[in-house]
Amino acid sequence: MTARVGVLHGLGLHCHSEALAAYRSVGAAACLVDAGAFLAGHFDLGSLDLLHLSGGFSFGDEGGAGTAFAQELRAGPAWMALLAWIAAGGRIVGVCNGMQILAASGLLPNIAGTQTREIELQANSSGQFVDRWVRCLWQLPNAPAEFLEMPVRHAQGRVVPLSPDLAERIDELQLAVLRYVDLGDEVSELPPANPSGSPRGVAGLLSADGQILGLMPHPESAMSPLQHPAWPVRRRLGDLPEHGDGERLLRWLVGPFCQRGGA
Amino acid sequence: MTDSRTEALPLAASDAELLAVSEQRRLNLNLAELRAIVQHFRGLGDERRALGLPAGPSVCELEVFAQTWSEHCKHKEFNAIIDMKLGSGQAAKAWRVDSLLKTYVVRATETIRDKYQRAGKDWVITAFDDNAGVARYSDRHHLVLKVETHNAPSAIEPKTGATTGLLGCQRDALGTGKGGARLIAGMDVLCFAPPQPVAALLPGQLDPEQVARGVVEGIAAAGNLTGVPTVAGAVIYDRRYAAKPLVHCGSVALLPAEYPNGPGHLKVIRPGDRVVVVGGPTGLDGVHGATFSSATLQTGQAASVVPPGNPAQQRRLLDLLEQACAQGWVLGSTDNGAGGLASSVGELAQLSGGARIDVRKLDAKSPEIGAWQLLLSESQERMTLAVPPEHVLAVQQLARAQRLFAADIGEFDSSGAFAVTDGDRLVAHLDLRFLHGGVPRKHLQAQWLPPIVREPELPALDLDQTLLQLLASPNIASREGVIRRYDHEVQGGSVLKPLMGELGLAPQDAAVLRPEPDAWRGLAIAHGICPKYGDLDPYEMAAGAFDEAVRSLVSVGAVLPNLQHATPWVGCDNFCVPDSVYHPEHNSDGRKKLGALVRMAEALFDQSVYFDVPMISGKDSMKNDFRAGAVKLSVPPTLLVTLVAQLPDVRQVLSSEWKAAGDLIYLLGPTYDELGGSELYALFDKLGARVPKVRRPQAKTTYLKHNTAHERGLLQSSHDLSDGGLAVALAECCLGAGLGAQILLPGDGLSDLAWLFSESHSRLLVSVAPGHAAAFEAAVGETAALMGSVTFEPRLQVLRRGAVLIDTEVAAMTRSWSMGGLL
Repeated sequence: MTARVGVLHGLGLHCHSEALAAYRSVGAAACLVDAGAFLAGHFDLGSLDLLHLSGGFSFGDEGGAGTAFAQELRAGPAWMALLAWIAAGGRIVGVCNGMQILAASGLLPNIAGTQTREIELQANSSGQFVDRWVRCLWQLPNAPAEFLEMPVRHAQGRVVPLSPDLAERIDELQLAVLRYVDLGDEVSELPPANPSGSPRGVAGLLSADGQILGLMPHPESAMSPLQHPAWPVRRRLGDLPEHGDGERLLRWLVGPFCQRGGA
Repeated sequence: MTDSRTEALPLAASDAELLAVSEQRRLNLNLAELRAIVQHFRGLGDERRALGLPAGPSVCELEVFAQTWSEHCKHKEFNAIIDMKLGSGQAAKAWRVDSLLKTYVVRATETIRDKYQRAGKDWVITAFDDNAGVARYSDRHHLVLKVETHNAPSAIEPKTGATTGLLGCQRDALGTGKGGARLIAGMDVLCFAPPQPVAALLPGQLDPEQVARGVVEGIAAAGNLTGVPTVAGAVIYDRRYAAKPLVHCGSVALLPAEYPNGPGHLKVIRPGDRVVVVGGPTGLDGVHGATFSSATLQTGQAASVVPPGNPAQQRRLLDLLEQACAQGWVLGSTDNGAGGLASSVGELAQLSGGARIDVRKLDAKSPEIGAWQLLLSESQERMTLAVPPEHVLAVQQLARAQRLFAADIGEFDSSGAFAVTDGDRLVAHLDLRFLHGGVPRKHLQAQWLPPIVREPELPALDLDQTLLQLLASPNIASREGVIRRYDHEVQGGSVLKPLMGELGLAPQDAAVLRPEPDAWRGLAIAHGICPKYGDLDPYEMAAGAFDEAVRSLVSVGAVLPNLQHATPWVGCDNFCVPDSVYHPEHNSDGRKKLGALVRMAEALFDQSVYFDVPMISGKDSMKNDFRAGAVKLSVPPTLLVTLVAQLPDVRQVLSSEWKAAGDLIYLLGPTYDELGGSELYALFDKLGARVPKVRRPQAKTTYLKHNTAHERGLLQSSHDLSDGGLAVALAECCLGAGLGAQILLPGDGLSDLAWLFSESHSRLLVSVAPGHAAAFEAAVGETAALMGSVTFEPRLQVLRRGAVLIDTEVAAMTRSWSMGGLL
C-alpha cells in the first residue's frame, strides 16, 4: 500500500517543501494541504492516510507555541471532521510547531480520550531558540531501541505534563518514544545533549491510542547524509551512511505507523 | 492634519525660506535641490492651474521629492562628480570621478559581461536596475542576490531595526522581476562596538551590548519566523561602531525563469494594468524613513520613524506572492520600503510611462491619516504589484486566504505623470522624468594621504598565552552564541553549516546550500570584510575584503570563473562610510573620508575585473555618524563583499576541520611580514604599519592550484587564513576536529611573530592524505609548503629552528575560543 500523506502548510507552517520531498523520497503519495483551506473545513481528509503538521510558527506563535492554530482548529468546522477521521483510523504526525499544535489542541497524548490539554511545550531552559543536531533514543513499545540523529530548531521544547499523574501515565503507557541522549547514549535532561532541558529527556510522544505522534526534532531535515554536520569527517572515515536517520523514521511513518490497527 | 494639497513651497520664496521649509518638514533637501524644484514648477505655469493645484509644489508633492531624492533612494553622493587627489605635492595624482557607482562598480560588471558575452557565456541577467541582482542558475531558476543595511534604525531600536532590515531585504528579493522568488537563504554581517572597554554613553546613545543583543534577537525573529535559513554572516567589533552599528542583511532567492505570463526576471507593465498593494494595513509608521536614514543620527531622535516588523505577516506575504506569480497573475512587483508608495509606485510607473493612484483606497489603519502620510507610510510587509485587470479579483481572493489585504488603488498609464488623488481630489501630479532625473548632481572634493605610521615594539611574548588570548578576542572567538539562535537548516538544504564536525564546533569558510532536493547542484556563499586595515590603506582594505570572500569560496571547492568552463560567481558590494562631504566646521576631514571611499571603490573595480566576479547589486550607506552637541562619532569606512559561487555538485565541497591523524598539512600561498592592523597588534592596542596587500597574480596562481588539487580529489580539508593568521587557522582546524597538529615552520628570514600571526591575504591551509602527498606536490609545485601533520593527540605544537613556539592542548584552545564569544 502506498501511504497517502498530506503536508499541512501556510499561515506560518513553513517546513512543507522539505517534508513533501522527504515523503516522496520514501515512496509515499504526498501532497500539500493549505492550512487555511483545512481550517475552513474545505479539505477532504478522507483522501489521506497520514496528515503531517509541518514545523514553523503558526500564527506567529501568538499566545504561545501552536496555541492560536489549535484554538482556531477546535473552534472551527475542521475539528469534528478531524475527530471523525481519526476515529476512522487516520494518522497524524506533528513536527516541532506541529507537535506544539497537537499538544495545545488536546490531541497529544490524549490519555483521557477527551481531547483536553495534557502537556505543555514550555520555553527551553536556556530561554532561547536553539538550532542543534541531537542524538535520540527511538523506543517503540515492544520493539528494539534505535538511535537517531536529527536537528532541533525551536524555542519551546520542554515537554511538561500538566500533572504528576499524567507524567506517570506517559511512562506506564510508554508514550515517550523519542528521548534525547548524551554522548554515552544515556537519556539526558541537560543541554547541549537535550537542548530544551526537557524533563525525562522527552523529545517526542505517541498518543495513547497510538495514532498520533509528536516530535520536536525534524526527521524531514535528516534525509540525506549530507545534512548531518559531521558528514565530511564520516565520509573520510568510510562510515557515511546512504541515508540520514530521518529517513528510517519516515519509512516507519508511511509503513508500520499507518498500517497498525487503531487502539 | 495638513491638507496634502496646500502649497508647501511658494515659488517666490527666498533661499532662506526654502531652507526653512526643508528644515521644518525634515525633508533633508539641500538648496540646490530646492531651487531645482522651484525652477521646474515655475516652468509649469498654466498647467498647474488647469489641474487645480497650487503653482508651487503641494505638501504631498514636496514630500514625494524628499523621499525620491533622498540619499537612501537616489545615492546622490555615490553618483556625485568627485575631484580626487591621491597623495600631496608634486607626486600627487589627481583625477575626476564621474559617479563612483558607474566608474568603479557598474563598469566592472560591464567589462566582465562584455568578455563573457563574446564567448556566449554571460551569466548575469539583471545588474543594478532592479530591487536585487539576477544571475543564471539552472534551466528552471535564476539566482537573486541582495544585501542591504539597516544601520540608523538599528541604532535607536536594535531589535525592531534588525527585524525590519532582514524582512525588507527579503522583500527586495521577493520584488525582483515579476516577483515571487523563493527565499533560500538569509545572511547577517553585524558590526558592533565591543562591550569592553566601557565608554561613557552620549545622550541618546544605547549601550553597545544592548545594541548587539537586540540586533541578534531581531535577526533571529525575522529569519526564524519566515522560514528562511540564516546561513552565513559575521560579527565584527571596532570601538567606532558605537557611532552606529552596521546591520547588513542579505537574501538569496531562486526566481522561476519562466512564469505562464513570461520571463520571471522581466517586469512588463502596460497602460491599463492595475496598481495593487498587498500585505498588511497602511499606518503612520515609519513616515520619513528614507530621509531619516540619509542623515547623521542626533541626540533625541524619535524611535517612531522605525516601523515595527511582523515576520509572521511577512511569511504569509511570501506564500501569497509565490502563489500569485506562479499563476501568472503578476506583471511586476516591488517592495514598499523606504519612501513607501511614493517610491514604489513612482518607480514602477516608469515602465508604463505613468500612474494614477487614490491613496484612500488603501487599507488604512485609521481614516484620519493624511494623504501624503498614506503615500509615504513605511508600514512594513507590503508590496506593490502590477496586475492585469482580469486577475485583480483572483489576487484579492488569494490575499484573503492568507489573511492579508490587497487594495486596488489605481492604474498604470502612459501620461508621463505620477498622479495621486485623495478620493476625488488631486493632491500630487508630478512629471516622472523630472522626478527621477531632475535631482542636481553633487560636486565633491576628495583626497587621500597615506598616514604616517610605524611598527610598534611589542614586549616579549609567551606565545601559548598569546594564541589563547587571540582565540578569546572579540573578532576571533566563537560565534556559536549567535549561530545557534538562528534556524540555519530550515528548508533542508544546508550542506556546509556555520559549525560542522562531530562536536558542532568547526567554523567554516562559506555556507553551502543544495536548494533543490532532486539535484546535486548548489551554491556557496561567503563574505569578506576587514575594516581594521582601512586606517592604514583603504585600497588594500577593500581589496582584502574582496580577496577574503574569494579565498573563502575557493576554500570550500568553488572553481574560479573562466572562459572555458564558466562557473558563475556573482557578488554584492555594501559600502558603509561616515559623512564624507567636506564642511569647514561640521566635517573638516570630509575630503579625507571621501578619499578613502574613492580608494575603496577603485579596489573593488580592480578585484572584480581581475577575478571575473561581477557585482550584480549593491548599496551604499553614507551617513554613519552620531552627533551629540559638539561630539561626533564616525564609523570606520567599511566594505562588505558578499560573493555567491555556483557548484555543480555539492558532494564535492570541502570543510575546514582536520579529518584524520596522519594527514599532511600544507600552506598554500606565501606569507609576508604584514602585521599592520592585525589582531595580534590589536591585543596591544597598536595599529602598526605594514598592511596586508593583495598581490593579484600570485593570489590567482594559489587559487588555481587549489582548484586543480581539489579537482583531482587530493584535499581532505581546507581553511582560509584571516584574523589571527596561521596560528589561529591551525587552532580552528584542530578544535573543530578534536585532533591535534604538529607543525615545523620554515627557518627563513621572517620573524616568528610574522609566521604565526601575520594576516597576509590569499593563503589557504589544507590537509592531504599521506597517499596523495606525491600527487598533491606535483599538482601544486612551489605554491605549497609542507607544514606538518595532523596528530591523534589533541595538542597543537609549533616548532621552528629547534625551538618550541607553541605547545597547547586543544581543550584549552576550545575553552578560550568558546568562552570569548560576546553574545
